[in-house]
Amino acid sequence: MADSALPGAASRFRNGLLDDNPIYRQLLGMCPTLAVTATLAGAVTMAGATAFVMIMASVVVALLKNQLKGHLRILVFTLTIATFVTIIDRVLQAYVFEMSLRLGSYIPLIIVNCIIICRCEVCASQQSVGVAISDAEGQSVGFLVGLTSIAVIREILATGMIFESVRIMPMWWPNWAVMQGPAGAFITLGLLIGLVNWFSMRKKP
Amino acid sequence: MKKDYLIQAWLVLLLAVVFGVALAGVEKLTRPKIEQNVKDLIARRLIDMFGEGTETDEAEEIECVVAGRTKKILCYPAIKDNKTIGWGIKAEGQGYDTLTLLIGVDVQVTELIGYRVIKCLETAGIGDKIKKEKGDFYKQFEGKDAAKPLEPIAPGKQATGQQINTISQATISSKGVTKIINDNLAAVRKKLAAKVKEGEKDG
Repeated sequence: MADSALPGAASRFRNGLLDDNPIYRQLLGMCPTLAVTATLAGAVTMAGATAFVMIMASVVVALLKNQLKGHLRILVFTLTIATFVTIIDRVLQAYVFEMSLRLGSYIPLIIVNCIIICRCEVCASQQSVGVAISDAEGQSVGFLVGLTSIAVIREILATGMIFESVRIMPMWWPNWAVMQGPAGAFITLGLLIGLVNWFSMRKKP
Repeated sequence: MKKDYLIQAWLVLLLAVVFGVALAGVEKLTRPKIEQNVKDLIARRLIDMFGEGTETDEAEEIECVVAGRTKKILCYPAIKDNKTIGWGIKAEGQGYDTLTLLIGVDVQVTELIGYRVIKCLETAGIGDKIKKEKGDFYKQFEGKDAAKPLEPIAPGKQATGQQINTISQATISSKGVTKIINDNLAAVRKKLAAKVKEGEKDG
């Protein structure tokens, strides 16, 4: 497909935020979405790590797009993604050690996050480096918005606080322990997807 | 056609080499910092169990069979006023997920001082109650006989001797903790005590 027939940089960025939001529209990356959104700090760290991997992998794949062979492209994507995941995992262990312990195996699991391989396939392997970066940034911000929206609700209802230290709810608030567990993750995600769908349907003429 | 494989895969091979070198560089840069982070964490957990002023040194590595598997167990000395007052045994096992604990014992490995969590991926709000610093679950382990296995019993029952009340809604995780302590102490206790005696003779 000709490059001109594909969306441009601004369109790619906007799509990642809204129309192709990885969590609310594409329903991708559900594993970290459910697993690390018990706290806002965990969600922001996961979104940051995923953004680093997505942007770097998009740059490398876009630079190599003319050399990619059809049957070997997924191998190249995986190799590239795995390298940057290992780098960010080591950096987190070195400089954000406590958070790295809390996120545990969910950081290495970014390797199998469908959002990244999907962006390599849909955009980076077909368009220029600039567009690939815009696309990765849009998807990263969309992923950040998705994770933090779930985490804010879960953390406030479960502990009455945000960032584990700033009290939001009054002292008499009975902490809803269920919101910290898997059930709370599913309930919050389901309600927010429903809300996003409701808004989308209202927008349609 | 077969000969083409290597030519077709030149990009993959080249990337593997480039990424390999890059990862080796990252490993070299981050390894000292990560090792220091682990040491600091162990030191903080030892202070939690043995009190302020506790320091640690290089770990003793003891090879033994834990639950049917040969492992090298790291035993960190708890040192106060230049005297070893106990050990922190780094132990790994299964809760709901993989759990890494630091088991505190006295210097002769006869009494359990307690345990602290090094790494815990148990379900938030449920299984992770085993790491609540001020919880009653921690206190139950203090002063137990290190030579006898702990016995997990249901929450609310009257616990005597080596019995430990599991945590309501976190039964698998709390049973996991007692099993990790039992398995690792059974494997390492005699060997660690023998090393201590050996050291006393030499000293």
